[in-house]
Amino acid sequence: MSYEVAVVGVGQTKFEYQSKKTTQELVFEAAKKALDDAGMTLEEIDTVVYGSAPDGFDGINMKGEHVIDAAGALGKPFERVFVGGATGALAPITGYYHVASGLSRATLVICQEKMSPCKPKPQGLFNTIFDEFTDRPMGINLIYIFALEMNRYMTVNKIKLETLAKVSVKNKKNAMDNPYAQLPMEITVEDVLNAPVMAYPVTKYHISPSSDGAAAAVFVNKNIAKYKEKPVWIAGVGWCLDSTYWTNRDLAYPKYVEYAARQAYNMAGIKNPQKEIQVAEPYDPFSYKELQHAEGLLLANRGEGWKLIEEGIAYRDGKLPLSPSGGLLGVGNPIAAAGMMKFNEIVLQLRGDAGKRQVKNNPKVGVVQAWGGLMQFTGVLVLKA
Amino acid sequence: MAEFHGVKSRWEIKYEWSGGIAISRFMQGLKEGKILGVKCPHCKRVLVPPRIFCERCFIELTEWVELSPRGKINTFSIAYIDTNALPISTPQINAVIDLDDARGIIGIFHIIGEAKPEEIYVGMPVEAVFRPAEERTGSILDIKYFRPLKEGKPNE
Amino acid sequence: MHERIAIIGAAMSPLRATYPELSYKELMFATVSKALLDAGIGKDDVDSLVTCSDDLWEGRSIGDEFVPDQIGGALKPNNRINADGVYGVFQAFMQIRAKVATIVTVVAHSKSSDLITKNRILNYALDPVIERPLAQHPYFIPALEATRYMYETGITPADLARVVIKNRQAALKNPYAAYGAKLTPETVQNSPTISSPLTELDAAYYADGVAVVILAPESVAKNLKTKPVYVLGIGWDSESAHLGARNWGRADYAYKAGIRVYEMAGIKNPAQELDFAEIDDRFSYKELMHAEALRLVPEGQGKKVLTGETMPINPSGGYLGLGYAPNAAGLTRVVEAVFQLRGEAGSRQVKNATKGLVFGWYGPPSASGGAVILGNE
Repeated sequence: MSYEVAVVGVGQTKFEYQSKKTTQELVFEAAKKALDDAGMTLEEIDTVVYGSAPDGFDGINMKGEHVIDAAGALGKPFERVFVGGATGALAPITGYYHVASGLSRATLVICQEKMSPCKPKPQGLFNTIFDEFTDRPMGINLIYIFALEMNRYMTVNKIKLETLAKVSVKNKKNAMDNPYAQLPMEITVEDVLNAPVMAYPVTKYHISPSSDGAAAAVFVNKNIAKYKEKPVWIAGVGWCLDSTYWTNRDLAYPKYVEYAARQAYNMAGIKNPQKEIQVAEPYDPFSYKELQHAEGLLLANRGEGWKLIEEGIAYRDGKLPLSPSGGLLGVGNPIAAAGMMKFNEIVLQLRGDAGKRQVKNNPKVGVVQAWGGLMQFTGVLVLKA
Repeated sequence: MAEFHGVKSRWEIKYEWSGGIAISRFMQGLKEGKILGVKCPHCKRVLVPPRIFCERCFIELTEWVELSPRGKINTFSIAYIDTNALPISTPQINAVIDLDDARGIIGIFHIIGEAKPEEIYVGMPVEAVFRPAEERTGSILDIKYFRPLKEGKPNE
Repeated sequence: MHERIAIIGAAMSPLRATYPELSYKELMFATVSKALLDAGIGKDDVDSLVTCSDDLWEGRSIGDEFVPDQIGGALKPNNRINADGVYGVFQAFMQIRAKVATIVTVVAHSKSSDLITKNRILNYALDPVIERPLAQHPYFIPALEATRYMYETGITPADLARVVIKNRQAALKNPYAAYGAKLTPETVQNSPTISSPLTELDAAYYADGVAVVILAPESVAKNLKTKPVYVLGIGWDSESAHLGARNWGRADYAYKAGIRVYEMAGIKNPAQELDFAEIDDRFSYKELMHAEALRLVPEGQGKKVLTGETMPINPSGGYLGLGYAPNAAGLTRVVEAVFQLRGEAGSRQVKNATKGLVFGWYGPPSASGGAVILGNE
């Protein structure tokens, strides 16, 4: 048997370009908020899962050990999950199996990132996520390969830059209602297109910022959940890692996202995601990624992700709102914490607690996705109210 | 409120990675002005960069082949920033080049030279330009860049 | 009642100071292939994969990116934990129990020879503002711990030397070990002091190596050719890594991990009920300290490990004899325990072994570790 698992508390810090708080202070703030939201104390927590991406950002090796105190994990089973940008989904998935296995009654999951200590810019560190023989000597970074993937996606599917710009406009506007957001703004499609080009076709407004921040949630079994108001249930989980050799892959379509999504949908009993999913937080570090990931999540037909934005489906008052939080483009992208923020947003949306961000269709089923690595890793969670 | 205090520090870490069987041979090939791949007898793909295993068929690979240095641009990008995301004055054209002889989607990442950014398109035939033999060190940088194919017909 | 979970396949590469002729990918491919063969399954039978690694040891950020192809994990669920390899077994165990996977491969690898400045990265694990400016050779932390432990228990430097001699001698019988040797007490005690009381030979040498185990529920294991080894219990714990906030005289993390693992395995008196133990001995004193914390000897009597009054402890030769492969370390001991419980340990075989304990520590400056109890009945 496996145990049913519910989320009963969520919390996050503000996402900022350069937080004055330390790694530990960010972890503590998010953890405390999630516990308070759950109405629980640390004594009730059996295990703690921490998610954080490259140690190089804040310059601390074995970073998990560094936050044990702040994460409330002293004297408890604790572990750090680290799978790049997908950490924000794999940490909650790991939290899920801690509880679903029966090993833990209540698990605190915290994702945190502090990128700003890395100089001159955090982006430089991304050179070290590439192969040391074939890629790194070329001076490659993540913006370079995103630009390559974006161009391929646009070319194969005949998508205009204007369409992708609309995703940035939407998400940054959604972020206006998010008190934790780093880049809330009202901009136009022209603003996105005319912004400085970083690597064609990526302009400054097609890309999420680097950020500091943390987000956390409390996972419990059914026996605890029944005493809580508005538990949100983990109905399905799935995750998938594609080959390292990114130049040997189809860059237009993320098959690994589809695999992860199918695993999660099968578990959740979802047969027709386009009909059954009512709100989604696909990973949007770049504008095109929201649409490409929506295709992988089977929320649009292959090659037709653009319809979600052009036909108004993806807006908060649309049939299938995407990134109502403001997404990474609007709220910020503290790598591991970004996915966790999206997870928390779906929890709040399904509880009806998203305030001004609340989507209009009274959702009962939502999906969240985080993504990372060399355009190769995705974790998916299906949540139900 | 107290003043904020911090410390500055630099990581000084040195590595000497072993390339092993496959990458060592690939690098040796580059030094000799060749692009080497390894063929999977099961799925028939020619893998570049080479490895001694096929991730799909999960068998050991031992059949080495030399590939034509020609290919087509799978996708490209024009970078106005450097590795650290700081602005650069001369834009760099990045590309994934699908190699003609590899069959299927087997590309390598490199830069495009001898071309203006506005001339580049997806599907453009290109060829590798190696550095002079005496400058090669057994590195991916032994290929100076790929350039648009000037003469002869693109391989089909 | 939960279905039991078994290790259905295991393999490791011999530990060596360096494998210059192979890349980490090639070493992993060879070892995973061997484990699949051992289990009698193909890579397509595997539902999920878990790896344990740390970026700085490898010099690759987001190191999990670079593993799926060679472990049979491309286009499959993979998870990566930053911890000792024994934590990989915990993930597999939980995933199977939670029914998100049926067959799970756990892989941990080390190519520590690729890293030239090994000791430096351990100091980068210290708090950058208040601890790192004071850092020296990173073994100053275990040295502080050893001093307090010896003060509390009366263990002497000569006792530590006996641990080193015992384990390196044992390793002579282990074809997987890199550092088997016959040493004299003088050689150990007179080797250069790194940070007193620890000499160079009190610390395990680094090694390259890969360890792999494959887990499945009993219903699957029963239909395979290989004799299953059951995971009877798992337990782990973390204490503060900060220098001002730890119990220097005792391994609290091992004590608490022990409470959890024994409870799950239904073991009341570990000293009596276990047949052997493979426990962390990254430093000589750690073997004694961990044996106490895990209640293999009475509290304060770590020395009993040396007097033949206990079950065999570290018959493999331990890290002192095998070599310490960062991140892979604990999993190399899990593989060793599987060999013991299958009766495949050759001349180091513990007779009639039915239950064994493995304990892995994450290494300095951490105070985190985990335990697994394996059994063949």
